[in-house]
Formats: sequence, structure tokens, C-alpha cells
Amino acid sequence: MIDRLLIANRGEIAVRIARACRELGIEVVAVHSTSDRHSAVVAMADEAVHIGPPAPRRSYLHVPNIVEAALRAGADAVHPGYGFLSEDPDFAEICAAEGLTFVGPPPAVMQQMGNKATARRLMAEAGLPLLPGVVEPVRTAEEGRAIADEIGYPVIVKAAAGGGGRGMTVVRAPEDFDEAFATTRAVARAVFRDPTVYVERFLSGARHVEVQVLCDAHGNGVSLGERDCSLQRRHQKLLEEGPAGHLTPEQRTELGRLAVHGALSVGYTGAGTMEFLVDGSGAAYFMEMNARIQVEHPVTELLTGVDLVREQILVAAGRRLAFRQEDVVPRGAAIECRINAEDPTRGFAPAPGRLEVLQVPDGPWTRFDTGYRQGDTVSPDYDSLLGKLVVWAPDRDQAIRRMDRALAEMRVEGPGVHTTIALHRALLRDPDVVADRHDVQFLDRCLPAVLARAASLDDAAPGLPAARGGLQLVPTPTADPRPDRSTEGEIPCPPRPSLSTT
Amino acid sequence: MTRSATPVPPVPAPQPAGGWVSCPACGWLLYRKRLDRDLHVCPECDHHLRLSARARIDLLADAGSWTEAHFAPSTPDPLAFTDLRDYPDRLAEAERRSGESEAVVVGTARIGGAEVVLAVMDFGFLGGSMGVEVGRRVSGAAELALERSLPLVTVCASGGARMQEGVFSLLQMARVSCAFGRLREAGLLSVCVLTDPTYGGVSASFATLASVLVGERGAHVGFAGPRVVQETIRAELPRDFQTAEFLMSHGLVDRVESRAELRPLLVRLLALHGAGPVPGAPAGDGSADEGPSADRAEDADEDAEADDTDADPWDVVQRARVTERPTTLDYLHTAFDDFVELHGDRVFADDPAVVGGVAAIGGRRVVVLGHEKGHTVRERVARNFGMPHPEGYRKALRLLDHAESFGLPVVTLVDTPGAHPGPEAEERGQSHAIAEAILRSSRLRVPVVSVVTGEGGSGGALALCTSDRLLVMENAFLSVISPEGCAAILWRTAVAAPTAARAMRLGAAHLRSAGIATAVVPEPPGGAHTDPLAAAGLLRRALVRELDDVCRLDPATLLDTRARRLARISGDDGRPLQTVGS
Repeated sequence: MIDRLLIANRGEIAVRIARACRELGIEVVAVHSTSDRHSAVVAMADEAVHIGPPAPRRSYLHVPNIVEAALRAGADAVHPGYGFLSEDPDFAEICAAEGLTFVGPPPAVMQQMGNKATARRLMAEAGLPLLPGVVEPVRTAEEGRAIADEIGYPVIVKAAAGGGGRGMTVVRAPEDFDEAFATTRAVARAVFRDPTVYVERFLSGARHVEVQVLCDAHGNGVSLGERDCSLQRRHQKLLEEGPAGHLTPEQRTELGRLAVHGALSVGYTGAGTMEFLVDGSGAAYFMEMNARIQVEHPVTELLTGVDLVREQILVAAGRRLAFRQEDVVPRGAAIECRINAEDPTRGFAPAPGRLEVLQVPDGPWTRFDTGYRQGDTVSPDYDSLLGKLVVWAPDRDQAIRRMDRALAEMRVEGPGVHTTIALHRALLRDPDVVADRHDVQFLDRCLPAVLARAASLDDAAPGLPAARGGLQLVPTPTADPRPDRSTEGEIPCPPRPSLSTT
Repeated sequence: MTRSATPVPPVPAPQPAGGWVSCPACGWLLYRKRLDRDLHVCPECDHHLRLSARARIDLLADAGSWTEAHFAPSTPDPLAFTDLRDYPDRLAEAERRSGESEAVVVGTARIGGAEVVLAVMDFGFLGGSMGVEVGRRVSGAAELALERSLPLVTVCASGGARMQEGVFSLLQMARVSCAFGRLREAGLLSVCVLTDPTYGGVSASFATLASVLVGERGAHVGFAGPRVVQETIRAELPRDFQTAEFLMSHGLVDRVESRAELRPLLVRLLALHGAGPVPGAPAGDGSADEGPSADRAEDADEDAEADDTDADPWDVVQRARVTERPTTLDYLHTAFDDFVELHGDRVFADDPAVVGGVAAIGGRRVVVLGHEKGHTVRERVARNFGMPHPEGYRKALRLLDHAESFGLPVVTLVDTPGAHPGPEAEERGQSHAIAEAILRSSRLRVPVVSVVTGEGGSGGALALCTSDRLLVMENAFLSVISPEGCAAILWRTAVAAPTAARAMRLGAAHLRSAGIATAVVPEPPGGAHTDPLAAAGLLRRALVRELDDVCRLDPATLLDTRARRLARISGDDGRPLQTVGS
């Protein structure tokens, strides 16, 4: 069993892991960089170790210091969280070599899943459907045409260095291929100075659906349902939800079965995510596997009632899964909005700074995971995730309303600080999003319109209209908390209660 | 010499305990397995740690393609040398420590599918020093390349000549240089990768004699080591003294590459010199290029355009000078399929106002040269506004030589206000350099196609447009002096520049009708800068057409036609010069 666990991470996920440890009775060792020395997780931990200067490569990515911290603080396990060292097979291997339990899959499996080509090959061998296409760059139009003929039209010619919808051409028929290939290469060379292109099957209206799996070291695995993360900008997820309501229950069950089968076939242990691209007909294609806890794991937690971080730690300690597939019953709908300290109007440029006001929403089935408290400073050295707002409701419509209410309650203020709050409110008002018919390209395509809507929301004052002033049935208390005795009880003339609004 | 594929012996290397290595440059702790995957480059300070010969071969050659050449064993100790230990003892220990039988390993391999002879030095064997055996193996590698008509790739790492073999070591410099000379005469490509460290008798022989010299990032390369220099002349040396970057800024190597970029570069270089498929070669009837019928239609268009678009010369001058107008590098990235820039004049400096290298266009390999102006103020200052110094023309000269050695046609893109006027340019022989460039291109045994893409300012432009075919873009001009200069001299005020431009009949139309330009390349309406990609497409089409045409001629016909073309240009319809009878 694990008695003392070192959290090799920072921010909200460090706090999240520390909470799970507390509930399990495990002592917590936090590590922190110089700029995080007063962070929330440091305050919560039994012991905190300063591991380096703010730059991640010298602190949260610096393996020798983290391992040394674990050994000196007497930790017997290490949880890497997400990002940083979470998918670094070397780190997992070094931890094992030093006698530390690594909360995650075995290093060899992590290595395989970390290499996209290897992961795709292994999953294809396990019988998972793959999106036809090649991972290797295509050099000539002839080569590309041969690949396109093999995988079938429509195909997409993609610049390797491209992104955000630039440097991509959809080809619907063989006779258009050569021209599309030449122009995409020319654009790629001119815009990105790199003419490398790939050819892939083009899916119209594709959705990003990922399945949460949990496997123990005894060959058992369960699927905990799926999440839809189609709302992403240049492959950065902004809003995640579950379940994938556009799939039939049978399709969802099948996807879960495939995911567990794929994970077990490579000897996966712990919490992991299998990512699929799903086309309009519901056909799913395996994309990649994330061998770690994910940012959006609370969506699954709210849907299933399973504490994923707790289960992750128990599985790492060698326990068998305490529940079987039939025990997992996802209920209702959940949405997560990533609240980032970014300015969407300036190309999502990081907008960090001191959080002079941080008012967190509350209320029924409303959860906010963050590593910041009011008065903390969001450092420019790390990612801009301020926190994750997650809501649950019996159905998707109610969840959207609940999320909008929670977003409206939230206040984040500080010099130079901007957030994605208004953007999320605008997204949840978009007819395509409300009707659940958006696809993975939605944000890259419609961002200007969404930003315009967000701007108009920003102009309107949040919450209740304040213009006419609050209605008062009793006199306003005076500013002085200890009013003069002589005036107490008397009703001063002007502030007379009135029901008229004039 | 016999060859066989033998299993590579494991390389014993000193390792600190725990699988961790400390970076020799910054002291950062590096996990050995990670360092292996990172090609032994420190992620913290980008220091390129030294590599054994075997690791180099694994890095550069296609997997499983290496076949080592075995040399009959020899135990040379011509001087029966003894210092603190006997020389044979030292050799035995070097062999045991490095796993190699000498300081260089030779064999054949494929790099990106192209068969090459590969000679790789191992600094771990007596500091990579060159004695008789190293000389024998390196010249053997060159002979093997000659015998099999293969490119030769060498990777150098050496402290210099081997002291223990005395003057016999010294003479190996002549032996290997002679072998590389024969390679050059045969028109075979040789590429040398200069790694840390390359000094003395190796750097002053084959290491710097290859057709293309590539320095690995941060590698120290020089003749006399910094300590020797410092102790001899007692001078303060710059921080980057003798690094690959220092060499490149002094025009002494073609490129500097990080370790990870070495193999991709070699693959491209080999392909661009005829070992491997031509990059971007059209499949079958051509993808990016229109068929001949389209070209003919274009021809007709052009002639029509050249006849009826007598643009105002001053408009032409202004359009040619627009800062957004595509430059040589822009065209190299848009109108060509691949381009590897080769820097430096191999003597003194790398002039950023002239760019050049090997490129591919429409399935043809070419050498491209051109003026480069840049776009932003910073770029334009760095590029000296496209005004070359003598070293720019000397870079052009040595690339013209390069083209001739490998039988590659030359494309030049001309866009300069003129050669740089300044005392340092005069000191280094501006006139000589321009004259040599004109002469060399007038007698080059491979075709030369020139395009005036913008300003063609005087002799500075002509140095790059002495050619078999001279194309002019619609908004480009060639001029003996800038309109401002002409106005200042003849009208006594630079304000009269528009009048001067008209008087000198600047513009494509005049060049075409005067028979100086052989064709006009159309531009998108409003000028090339309004749609750079379309302009590049039009230029590409014109170049492919002209190259197809001119590459049909054999060298003798080519030289003859070129001489006659140059002689015909006179302005009075080619009246031959006659001796006036007395």
C-alpha cells in the first residue's frame, strides 16, 4: 500500500490529487518551483519541497530533482498528474528503478502509446478501426494519388506544419488531386516554409469522442463511458461534455468495449483515454491513446460517480478494481468548461496576472477545480488553465443552462487578466452547439462569430441589471457600522421605502 | 580491400553510475537513455556531445545498409616511436577503448536510398589523428567512390596529424588531397561533415576539400588550436572563435546544421546532385507543370503582351522597387520544388546580398543564384538592400564552378540597385569580382538562364545576367545607371528621375524589342507583389520552358550560341565590326 505520495505537478491537478490522497489517508508531498512557493497545494501538503526556479525544465520537468525530493521526503509513490512528466517513459522507469511506485502505466506501454505510429499499429492489430491514411509525409503527387486511391475519396491533404484550418485541402475526386496537392504544398512552403504534407481520409462532420478506461494490474478493465471534446481550437480542447449524445446507446457500448479491449491488449494499467474520431454515421476511428489522467476527467466522475484519481492510486498500489463493467452506469449529462487566463480576442494570448477577485460559482451539481485562490498570481511560466468549471444535470439542456448560470456567477478580475468565460457563454448559445451538431472544425471555422457574440455578452452587465438600483423595502443601513444612538429608530426622510421605480 | 557486413562491436564508453551523464558544457544531469534518443545533444544548452564513428553511421545511414570495407591489417610504426609508452601499446589500447582498428571507418551505405561511400572518423581513437593507415583508408574511400561512381560522404573528427608516425603522417595530407582532387575532376559529389573537433592536418586537407562542407552546430574547426594561437600571438580571441558558426560567417563552410538535421540535409543534397529521385519530380505527364501546349499558348500571350503593354518606364521602376515584391528567396520557396542554400565564398565572408545553392524545378536539378533584398527594414539592412560586396560575386563564382562540375544548369534571379559602392568593397576588388563573374558565366559549359525579377542595376546586375536566355519580368528593368543617378548627372537634379527613366526606355518592352531580353515573364495584374503565389507560378512556367529548351544543346553549341548572342547586342541590329580599309 502507498503511505506517502509525491505529486510531481502543480495547479489544479496537484490539488485534485492531494484531495484524493487525504481521503485515502495517504500523506502528501508537494513539489514546487520558486514562483509556486505559496500555492494552494503547498499549503495543503504534509511536506513541500522546493525543486527549482520557475522555468518548468528546471523544476517540474527536472527529473533528478523530483526523484531526489521523493527519496528525501520518504515518499513511496509518485503521481505525475497530466502534462509535464506524466507521459515520459524515462521518468516512469527512473521512479521504478528508485523503488517508487509510479501512478500510471508501465514504462514500456507508455512508450508504445506515446509513439503515434506504434500505437496505431498495435491498436490495428487489436482490431480497432483506424482512419485510413499515412503517418509518413507524402513526397510526390503520384505517391499521394496512389495513397488516395487506396484509402478512398474524399481525402484531405494537410500541411505537416499547418494548423487552424490553414494549409489543408479537401479532395473529392481523383482528377482534382494533383492540383490540390501542388497548391497545398505551395501554400505550405510559402506560409510555413515547410512543404511537408500528409494525405488522410477526410471525415466531414467528424466529432472527437474519447473513452475513459480504467485497468488494474490483474487483467481487469472497465470503460467509464465517453466524453465528447469536439469544441477545440487548433487541437486545444475548450469545452468537454458527456455522454456523446449523438451516438446511439449501442454505438456507445461498442465504443467502450473496443476501448477496453484495446487497452488490455497492450497490458495497460491505470486510468487512460482512447481517442476516436467519429463520423456523421457514428463510425469510429482510433486516433491515439492518452496514458494519463486527463484534464477533463471530472466529466466522467460526475456521470459515473467514480473517483478516478482515487481508483488510479489504488490500482497503482496493486489493488483489484472494486467494480465491474455492469456496475458502471453513466447518468445524466455533464459539461466542463476550461477557464483559461487567455485573451480570446488576441489569438488566445496568455493573459496572466494577479487574481484580485476570484469568485467561484457554487450551487447544485456545480464543481470548480482550481489551484488558485483569490490573491494568487497566475504565472506566465505555466499553462494558462485557471480552473475547470464542471456541472451535472439530468439532461443536456439543463446542463447547458446550469453551466450558463455558473459562468455568469463567476468573477475573475485582475490587472491584465482576461479569461475564456464569456467565450464559453457565447459557445453555449450557438445554435449548432445547443443542437449538438457541431464538429471538430467548428471553432476553427466559426471563431469570429463566437467572439463577436462573446463581446456583446461582455458589454451587457453580468447578472442582474444594476441600472435602476436595488429595490428596497427597508432603509439602507448607513455606512457606519455603529450608527449614532440618537438617530437609531428614526426614519430619515429621503430613503423612504417606495415601490415606485421612478 | 574486401568488404563484408560484420556485426558492429559494442562501443565501450566511460559511463558514470546510475545511467546519468553530466553535460560537459553546462553540467546538466542527463538520463543516458534519453540522451541516446536525443542523439547526444544536451536539451538544456544544445551542446552536441562527441559521437563515436559507429554512432555516426547509425545516425546517417539507412538502417541495415552499412557494409564496412576491410583493409588488410598493417602495424605501422615507421619510427619505432616511444614516448612515455611504446606506440604499438598506445595503438592497442586505443583499439580496446574505441572498439575500432583505426581512427577512421570506411564502407558503403545508403542515405535516403542513395548509395554512397561513407568514411567516418572516430575521435576516441588517438584523437582521430591521421597517420599512414588513416591516409590509406581515406584515400581508399575516395578511390572506391571513383571506381563505383558514387558520392563520398566523410565525417571528420580529428586533432590533426599523428605525431607518432612523424613526417609520414604529414605526407598523408598530400596523399588524401590528391585522391580528393581526382574525385573533383571526375565530377563526383563529396560532402564533408565537420564535427567537433577538426583540426590541423585533417582540416588542412580532405576535411575542407569536399564539394559541400557542412559544419555540425558548435563544432570547433580550425588549423591551429585556440591555445596555440593564444600562446603564439597573445591575442584575445572572440568567444565563438573557430566554431562552425564562425566559419560560416567567414564564408568557409556551406552550412551549419544541428545533429538531427544532418541526415535530412544529406538526403536532399544527394538527391539534388543526382543520387536519388529529383525532389518534386512530376509523375508521368506532370502535375505542377502544364503540358507543352499550355506553354505555347503562354508564349503567344507573352509576345502579345510585350508588344502592346508599353508600360510607363517610371511606373515600372516604382513597381520593381515595391518592398513587398517577391525576392529571390521567396521565389526559391514558391517557384522551385526544393532548395538547399550554400553559403559563403570559401575565402572571406558570406554575403547576404547574394543567395545561391542547389535546387530542383519541374524535375530538373539546377544551381540557383540571385540577389536578395529582404522585405522588412531589418532584413533589408541585413541584406544591404541587395547590393553585393565582392564576396557576393565570389560566392556566385564558386557556385558557377559547382554547377559546371556537376553539369547542372544555372538559373539566376537578378534584383539589385547595383553593386555596393564603398571603400571596403574597393579594397577587396569589386571590379575584379564582377568582371570575373561575367567572364565565368559567359564561358560556362552548362546552360545559364537569367531572369531580371526587379531592379537590374548596372554592372552589379550584369554580373548575374550574362546568359543563354535573359528573361525579364513584366515590371523589371535593366539599366546602366539608376534613373536618379542619371537625372542628377544629366539633368542636374534627381527630381528628373521619371524623365530620365523614360529617356533610358527602362522596362521589359524595350529590352525585349531590343533583343537583349529573350522573353518577358508576365506578372499578375498590378505587379508580382499583389499575388506572389501567382507570380511564382508564372515564373516557374517560364523557367521550366526555357530550361527544357536550352538544356538540349551540347556544351560546344551552347558556348558558340552564347558568344554570338552577346556579340549581336549592339542597338544597331548587329552590324558586324569591320576593319576600316586605309
